[in-house]
Amino acid sequence: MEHVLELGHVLPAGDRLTSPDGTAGLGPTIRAVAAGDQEAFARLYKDYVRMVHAILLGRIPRRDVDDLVQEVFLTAYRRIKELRDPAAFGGWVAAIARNRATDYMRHSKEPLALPDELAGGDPIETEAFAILDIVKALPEAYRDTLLMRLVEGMTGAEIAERSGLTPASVRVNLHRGMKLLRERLARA
Amino acid sequence: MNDDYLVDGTGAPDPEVVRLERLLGRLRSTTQPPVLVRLKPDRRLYLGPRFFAPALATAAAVILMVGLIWKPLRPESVADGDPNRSSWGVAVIVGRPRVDASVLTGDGRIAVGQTLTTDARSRATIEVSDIGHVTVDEQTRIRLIDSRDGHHRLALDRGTLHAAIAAPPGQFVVNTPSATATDLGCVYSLHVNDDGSGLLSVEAGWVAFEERGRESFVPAGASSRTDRVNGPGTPRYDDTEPAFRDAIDEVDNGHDARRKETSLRYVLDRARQRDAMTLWHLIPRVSADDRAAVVDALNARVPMPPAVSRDAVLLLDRASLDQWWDALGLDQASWWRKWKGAYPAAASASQAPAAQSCAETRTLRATPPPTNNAGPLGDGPWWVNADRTLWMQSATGPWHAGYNQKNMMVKPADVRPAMSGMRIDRPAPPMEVKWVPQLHAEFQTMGLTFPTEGCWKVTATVGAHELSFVSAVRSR
Repeated sequence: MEHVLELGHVLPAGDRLTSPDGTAGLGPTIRAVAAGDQEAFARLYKDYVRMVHAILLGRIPRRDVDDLVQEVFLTAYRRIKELRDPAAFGGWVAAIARNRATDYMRHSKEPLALPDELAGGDPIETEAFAILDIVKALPEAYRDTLLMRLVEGMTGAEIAERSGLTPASVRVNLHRGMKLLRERLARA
Repeated sequence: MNDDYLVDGTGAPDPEVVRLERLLGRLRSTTQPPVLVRLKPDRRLYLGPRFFAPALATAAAVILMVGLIWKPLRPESVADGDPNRSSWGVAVIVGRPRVDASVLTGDGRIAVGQTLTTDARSRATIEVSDIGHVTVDEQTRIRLIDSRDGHHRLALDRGTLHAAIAAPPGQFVVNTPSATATDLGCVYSLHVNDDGSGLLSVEAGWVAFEERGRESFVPAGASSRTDRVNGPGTPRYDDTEPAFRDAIDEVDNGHDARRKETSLRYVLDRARQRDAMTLWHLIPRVSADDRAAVVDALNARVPMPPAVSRDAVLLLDRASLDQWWDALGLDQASWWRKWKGAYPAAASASQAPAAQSCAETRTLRATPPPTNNAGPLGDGPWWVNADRTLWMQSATGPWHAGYNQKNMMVKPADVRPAMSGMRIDRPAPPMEVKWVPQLHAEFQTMGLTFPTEGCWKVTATVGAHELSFVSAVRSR
């Protein structure tokens, strides 16, 4: 559980008995992945990639997000046997993503404002990047939750299920984050 | 208004949230799961510092070493079942390099059309068919362009590679954004900066460094810089003093006429006898006004052969220059003329005639696949790449110099093309590209402006796919 505390309140692992698709616990999937089942790994990837993508998008230049998404899942694959509680997978992989982003920024020699972070002249794309920059400046909990909702299209329930946050925490993060975002957009 | 729509998409839509969803949704994840290629944790392949000790920097020793350490490996069909796609073995030295989206943790393969990328903490080695190997340093991206008998070509987009090749001249070629390195049987390192400039350093044998008709023949112990504007720079030995190397850079790339003149005088005054190689390269690169001084300086280090006339050299007569080259004691010019007939080109437009004809790439009468944003596009004629992922044609007929002309491209969606155009029959500023923002579209338009007439090579790269062709640009 320590992996997800930085985001807010988490459900005790024992309370989360269903997988994201609600059909079964994550345990069998995690055990299958640990045994080298790549199909199980692909299912896990499909269920959690949006959350990982959102976390990275809020922290590193977009051009490297896809690469780091791959790295995060590869790290999770290699270390899956270290995960003692399968139900904590979401928080665990989120922590890997945050740590990897931190590591990336620590080793990056380049400033954040990279040329390929700029839009190519498409006014809609330009506006999207401008908004992304504003979202990136929001407090972490708001930023991650808003990106999962607005970029990845996840519902509040999905965000709660994947991240390990309580639905109430997700609602609060979305509400407060959106309020802050509106204010900053109005000033921009 | 409550938060129901914000939280779970139910209730009355919040216009601001809808707008943000629409805009930010464009940044949504589209990645696929990493392919776990032969996951072998902690496997390491150690090839030693770089890959050879300096004491082995002779061609014979290198060839021997290559034979000892490298496992002969013929191109094999790749796992996707396409028997026509050749591939090379890749071994991880450290970290987790990627081939396209697949993360390598042990051995893997790279197929024609695929990209190998290393991050800040990964390195890999590639077996180049059965002729040698390439070590790929950190922060490097290379693409395998071609691999057939006698023809092996990589593109180094950024970063550093070290090649050790034991093959007849011309079989192994590396494209960079600003020059093409052709192996003449040797060991060398090639670095490309993010701006496309680069540095070639040769440890053994020879490398020809070429772009837009300008060539540098770089021997062991020498280096050549390159940049997008001027192409390959004048080669110089690495044991020259820094001021000498700086002066050559100024002669090659400087914009201030007075400083260039001063630098040229410095080079001519300070050149040692072995720097005759550098002086020989300068003959066609300097202006006609300066050429006599360069010829005199070279003549002072390595006398002009009796059969060579000074006037012929000043007129850049190829046979005369070849004979003088042979007198430098480096190697015979004839052996590399066998694979490459062109002569090192002059450095400015005033010094060499334009090509009388342009070997244009043939277009194709064919219909591109349907796109997600355009109707039927007709049967061209199109320039098309080998795997038929990139199609291009002019929307306004033949290209003419000085106009921003509309062009059309069919490409994969959600990938931003990279495009460049270089005149290949004589030096010229590069082609300009103005993209119409259509990142998500498969049908893309763009404006191309060719600053001069002539024979132009245009290259479009979209992800791992590359379309490259040659076409004439006419005068206005």
